Amino acid sequence: MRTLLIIMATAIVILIFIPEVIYANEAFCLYGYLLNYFQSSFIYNNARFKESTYGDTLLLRLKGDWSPEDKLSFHAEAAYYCRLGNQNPYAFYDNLGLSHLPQDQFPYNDFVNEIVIDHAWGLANLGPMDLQFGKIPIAWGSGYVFNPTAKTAPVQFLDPVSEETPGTFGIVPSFYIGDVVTLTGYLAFQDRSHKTYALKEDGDIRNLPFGIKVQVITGLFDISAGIIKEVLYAQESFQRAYYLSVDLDGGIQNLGLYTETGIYLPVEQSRLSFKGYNLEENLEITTGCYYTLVALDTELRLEYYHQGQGESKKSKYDILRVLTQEQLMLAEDYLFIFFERSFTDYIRASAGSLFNLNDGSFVVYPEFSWDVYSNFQFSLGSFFFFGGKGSEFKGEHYIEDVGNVDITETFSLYTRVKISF
Amino acid sequence: MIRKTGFFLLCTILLFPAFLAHCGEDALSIIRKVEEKQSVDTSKSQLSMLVFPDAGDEKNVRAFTVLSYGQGDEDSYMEFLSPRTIKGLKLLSKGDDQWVYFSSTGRCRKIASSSKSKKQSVKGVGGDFSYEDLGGGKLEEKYSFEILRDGKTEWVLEGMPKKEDSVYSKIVIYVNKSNYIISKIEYYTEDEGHYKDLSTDEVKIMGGRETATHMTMLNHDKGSKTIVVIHSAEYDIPLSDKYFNPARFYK
Repeated sequence: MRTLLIIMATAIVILIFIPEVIYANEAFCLYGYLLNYFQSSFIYNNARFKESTYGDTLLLRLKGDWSPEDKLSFHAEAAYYCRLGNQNPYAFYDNLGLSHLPQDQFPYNDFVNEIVIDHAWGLANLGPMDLQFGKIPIAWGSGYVFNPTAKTAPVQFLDPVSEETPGTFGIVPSFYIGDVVTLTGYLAFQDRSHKTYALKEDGDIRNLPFGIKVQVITGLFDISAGIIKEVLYAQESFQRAYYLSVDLDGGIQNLGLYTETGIYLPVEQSRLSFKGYNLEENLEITTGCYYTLVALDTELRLEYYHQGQGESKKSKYDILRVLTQEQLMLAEDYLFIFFERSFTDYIRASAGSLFNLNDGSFVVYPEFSWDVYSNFQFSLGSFFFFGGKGSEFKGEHYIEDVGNVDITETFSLYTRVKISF
Repeated sequence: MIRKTGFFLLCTILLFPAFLAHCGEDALSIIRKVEEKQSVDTSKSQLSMLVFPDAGDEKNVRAFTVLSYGQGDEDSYMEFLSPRTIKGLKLLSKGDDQWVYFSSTGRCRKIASSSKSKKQSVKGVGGDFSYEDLGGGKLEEKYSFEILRDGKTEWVLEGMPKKEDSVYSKIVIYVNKSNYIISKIEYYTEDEGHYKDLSTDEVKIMGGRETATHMTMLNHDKGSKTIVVIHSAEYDIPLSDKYFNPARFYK
C-alpha cells in the first residue's frame, strides 16, 4: 500500500514538471483528477433532531492512454480512495449491525484506504473488427439513471463521488458491417458482485457471464437487441439469469427519447420454459425523454423505471436483496425527474428527484455547480428524504437475524471539489 | 492621346476575361465555387478554441484543444484533448445525426436531431459554436441564396433555410471575390435577430490549400466571443473509417 502510494505521488510530480504536449494520437498521456467529497447527514425523528454524522471521501484517479501503433491502444485507470466517517462502507455496515466480524480482527487490512486498478485494457483494430481485452468498463444501455442491460458490474447508483463505470475482467469483440450494423458482445471472467475473494467455482463455465447484441443505426433511432447472461454471487451462492435485451436511443423532433429493457428469460436445464411465466414480473425497463428549453438554457429529463422483481407493497420489502445487489431498488415503479439550468457556460443549478411510485416516498437533491477554472470544479448540494413509515426513502427496514435498520437520513449537505490534471 | 486610348483598350482586353468571370455570376454558382474551394475528401486538423464569456474581457478566457477529422461534406469527428476535465469527450456528426461520447461514464449517447437542442453549445465546453455549427453539411443544401450586394472585392449573399427546423432563420455571408473564401457569416434567429458573426481573421496555406487559420465567433446576444485558431491542417489523407462509425468512433 505504501509503495503504491509513493508510486502514485511520483507520477503526479512528474505530471507537474513534464511540459504538456498534446497532439493527436499522442504516444502516451497521463492525466486524472483529485476529488474531495464531504457530507454531513442529519436525522430528525418527529421533527426532533436525533443525530448527525459526518464523512469524507478523497478520490485520486489516474488515467493513462498509450498508442504504440495506429491500430493498437491501451488504457488504464487507477483509483485511490480514502473513506472516513459516514462515507466508509465498513462503518456503514457496522452501524447497521450487518458485519459479522469486527474490523480489529483483521489488523493487516486497511478499511480506510483503498487502491484499485479499475481499468486496464488493450484494443486492437483488426479492420472490420475490434478486439478489446482486459479490465473493461462495459457500459451497455441508453438509460440515464437506470440501466437494465448493464449486468457486468456493481451499480453505481446516483453516486455523488465517482461517475466512472467499474471495470470488469473480460474480452469484448465487435464486428462492423459498414457504418450501420454492429455485432458486439462480451465474455466476462468475474461475476457482477466483483467480490474480492476467490472461489473455485469462479472457474465453472456456468459462472461466466456473457452478452451479445446486434446494433443498427437508423435515421431516428439507434436500435440494439441481444441476449445477456448475468452471474451474481450473493448470499453465498451464484445466481444465474438470462435476459433478452432491447435498446432504442434517438428522438423525434425536439424530444430526445430512449428506452432500455431487459426481459428475464425462464431458462431451466438449458431450455426455455414459459410455464407460469408472467411478463410484467420478469420485465425490467427504463424509458426516458429529455427536452431542452433553449430560451431558458434549461434541460429537462424524465425517466420511468419498472422493476418486475420489486415489491408493490412496502410490507414485503427485502432490504437485503438491495444491499447484496440482487435487485437495484425495493419497489416496482419509479419516476426520475431532473432539470438543469445554465446561468453561464460554467455555472449550473440542477435539481433531481426520484419517486417511489408504489409507496409514495421520494428523495430530492438540488445542486449548484461552478467550473471555477477549466480544471477546477466546485459543487454544493443536498439530499432530502421524504416518506411514510416503512417506505423506501424514509423509515426502518427489517433484516432477519439483525432486526430493524434505518439506512436513510432526513437530509444531508455535501460539497465536492475536483481538480483535473 | 492615342497612346492613352491604346493603353486603356489593352487593359480592357486583358481584364475582360476576369470581368466576364465575375459578370453574370449568380448566387448559386458563387456558393458552389465556395464549396468547391472548401470541398475535400478528408481533412485532419488540430485547433484551439478560446472562449471569452465576456468579449470585452481578454483576461477571462477558457482554452480548449481539439482534434478534428472530416470526411466529405457530411461527416466530422471531434475529440477534445484539453482541458483535462473534458479530455476524451468525442463528438461525431453524420449529416443531421450526432453522437456524443463521455469518457468518464464510458457511454455514447445520440443527440436528438432537433434544431433547438443543436443550437446549444457543447456541454462542458460552452463557447459560441453550437452543435449545429460543428456539424457538417453543404451550404447549398441547407440554404437558398440570393445576392444582396455585389461589391468591388466581395459579394454579400443572403441565405434562407430550406428546412423549417433550421437553427437559423437567415444567414448572410461575405465572399471574397479573389479567392472565393468566406470572410464573414452573419447568423440570424427568430428570437435573437442578429445572433452571431463568424469572421475570418487570417488565411494561410496549410496542407496545400488556403485555410482560414484564425476565426472569431462573436455572440451579440450573450456579449461573448470564441476564437478558433487552426494549428495544423492536412487534406485528402487516408483516414480510418472508425472515426465516422457511430458504433466505433469512441474506441
